[in-house]
Amino acid sequence: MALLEAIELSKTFQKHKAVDDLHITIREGEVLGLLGPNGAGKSTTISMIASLLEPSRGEILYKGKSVLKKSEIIRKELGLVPQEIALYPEFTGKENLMFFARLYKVPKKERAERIAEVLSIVGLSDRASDKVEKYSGGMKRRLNIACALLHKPKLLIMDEPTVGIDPQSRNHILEMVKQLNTKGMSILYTSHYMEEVETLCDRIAIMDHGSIIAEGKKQDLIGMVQDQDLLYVSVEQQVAGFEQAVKEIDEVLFMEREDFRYKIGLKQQAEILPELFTLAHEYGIRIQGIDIQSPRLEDVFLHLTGRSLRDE
Amino acid sequence: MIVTHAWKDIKRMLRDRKALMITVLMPTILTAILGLSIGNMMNGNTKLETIPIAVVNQSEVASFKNNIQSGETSDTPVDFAEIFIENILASEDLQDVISYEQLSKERALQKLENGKLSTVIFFPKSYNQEVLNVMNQPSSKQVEVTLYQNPDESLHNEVIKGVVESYTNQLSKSVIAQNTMVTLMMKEPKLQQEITSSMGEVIQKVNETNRPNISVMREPFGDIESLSGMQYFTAGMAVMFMLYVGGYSAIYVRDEIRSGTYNRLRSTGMSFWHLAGGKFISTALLVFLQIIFLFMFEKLVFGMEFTNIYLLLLMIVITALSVSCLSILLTTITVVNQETRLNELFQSVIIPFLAMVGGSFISISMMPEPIQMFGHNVINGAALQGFTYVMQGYSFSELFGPILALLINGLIFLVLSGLIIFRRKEVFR
Ligand SMILES: Nc1ncnc2c1ncn2[C@@H]1O[C@H](COP(=O)(O)OP(=O)(O)O)[C@@H](O)[C@H]1O
Ligand SMILES: [Mg+2]
Repeated sequence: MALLEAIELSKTFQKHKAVDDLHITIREGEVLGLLGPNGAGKSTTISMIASLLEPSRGEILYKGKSVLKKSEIIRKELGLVPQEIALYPEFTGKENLMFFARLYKVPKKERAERIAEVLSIVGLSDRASDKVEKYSGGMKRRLNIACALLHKPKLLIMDEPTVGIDPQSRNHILEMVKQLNTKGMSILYTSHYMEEVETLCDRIAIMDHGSIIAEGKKQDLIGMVQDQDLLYVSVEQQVAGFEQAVKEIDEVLFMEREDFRYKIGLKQQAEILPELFTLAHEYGIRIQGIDIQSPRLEDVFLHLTGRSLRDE
Repeated sequence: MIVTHAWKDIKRMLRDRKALMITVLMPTILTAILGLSIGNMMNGNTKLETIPIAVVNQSEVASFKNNIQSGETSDTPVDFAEIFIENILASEDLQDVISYEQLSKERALQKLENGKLSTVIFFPKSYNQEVLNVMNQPSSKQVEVTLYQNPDESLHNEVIKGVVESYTNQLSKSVIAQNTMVTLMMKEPKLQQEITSSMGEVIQKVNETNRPNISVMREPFGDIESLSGMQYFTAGMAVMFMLYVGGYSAIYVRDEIRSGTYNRLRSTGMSFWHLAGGKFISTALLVFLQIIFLFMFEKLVFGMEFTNIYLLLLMIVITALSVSCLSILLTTITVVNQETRLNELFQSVIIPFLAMVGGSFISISMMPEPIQMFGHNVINGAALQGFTYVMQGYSFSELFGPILALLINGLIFLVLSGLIIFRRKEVFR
């Protein structure tokens, strides 16, 4: 069943279309990954879902009811983890939690218990009495999440919750998200890290330039690029013109360079090796190795947009 | 919910070292420096125009008996009060400084009360006779001229007092000289020649001794007292630095917007009323505590007088409430226009400007009329007037003006922020 549905959602900032005719569905009990590069419009979409920002056009339904008409229906059941560290650094972890627990109207009797609970979920119980300004980046991120869990939300929206932290904290957070989901929480997980979304999410929506360009289960998405092969070609040196020449081969869909390695997308079962060697010879390039791989999620984005999802 | 928001801001402020330095430490230090250095002079209204005074001359003409040279007595009528009026007040030298009129005592005091006069100089009925008595008999009772003065104008008062004193000093010096001579000549008529020649010496001696028996009494009019510099600057700094507290509550919102915390607050269902209500309560309480602290500090350290603690508390409460309204306006503008530079502008330009025209540093009567008008009625100027009135001993009914001005200020801030939020409703869906 659809817990949340955004229909024809659009947001224009002074002529700039940040979100453009977007459709998205979050099903009850799933982790939906919203994947897209910086500036794709992920945060803007989230702000509209959380009814912090008025859409220019479109509708948002929570459990079939319009959020735009009555924002209260979603607010009580929504936990929002903002992209920024939205905390009071001069307060301790516990004071931050106490403040937000009051705002979320957690009954007085349950507050202490709830706070202890979320502290243990995010693994900050022993640092609860320290001021947040003394926390490491990873600890701040974890407290940032804890504050959104106090009122036991049905739907948790996380906007890039792992930006700029150490791998350990990151793993902790990913593990935690899985745990919360097992206990029945529906989660919208936004990221521009492929691996996170790949390991975490049941379904994935890929966003670019304000709209969803692909959506489905991980395997379905990868299936979209199943009909292509990936050829990795390692070379000793780069020579101007070689890349352009290879791209002009009919069977080549795209070509990317990472240092001394080319990643070439081919039409399925295309035979370009003889041509490739001829070109290499022409340009005086020595090919050191060749590797053929099946595509990963990352390649879906590349396939759809011709650009890499990696940090620009 | 509102209380939760308010308490959060109070806690932030109390932990914000920079904010505490600006709102508590700075005014305390400035008050001490200014209050101690300016001492007793400063007061509200010092004008450059002529000083309006009235003379009440009830003295009766007395007779001076000339029996020195001929042995006979001849009566010369003398009127020292009239001499003062004709030769001093009416002199060309003083015309630009003092404008005087002669009035009955009732009429003069009435005009003084209405603030139309700076001083009433009062010569009692027996004045001339008493001066003569002192001439004839140096030990006789002291002669008094009474000055009724409007305490709002202490600088003027000093001028008038100076003029009257210099006359009476002159008078008493010649009185003493004359007494000395008369006594000597009576004893040794033969020495008359010598005495006359040594007169200069005598007068010089008198000048050195200089113990005038004719004194000027200053009578504060009603119960109103002059302000000490400490009192004035305590109030002046309090009303200036309270504006920073109001500013901080908007700065905190701006920080919340920048850090994304504001979105989190909104996601908990915070409405405009929660935000504005929280700001109202937190600012009112913080300003209240701030001003109480400043006044208590100056009292405990420098022994400053409150004069009337209940009226002072009332003024502090009303002032704090009107600063709260200001903080709501600043917060509203910040929330509606998140890019606004208003908060920086408020701290660096608007507050110093308001402090200047509101009279926190210099008396605003030096300024052009329209600015004075603004300075008297703008939030900090009105509060300053209220505080100085209380410390001068004015009664509740006389505080009505400043209180009304403060309430109107608050109302204007609220109406403005209401208009802004009404026109940009989408900011608080
Ligand atoms: N308040 C705003 N005013 C103007 N442009 C905005 C505003 N918020 C976001 N944008 C623009 O909208 C686009 C999408 O931004 P955002 O939703 O933050 O992307 P993402 O979260 O995917 O990185 C960006 O080009 C951004 O510059
Ligand atoms: Mg974003």
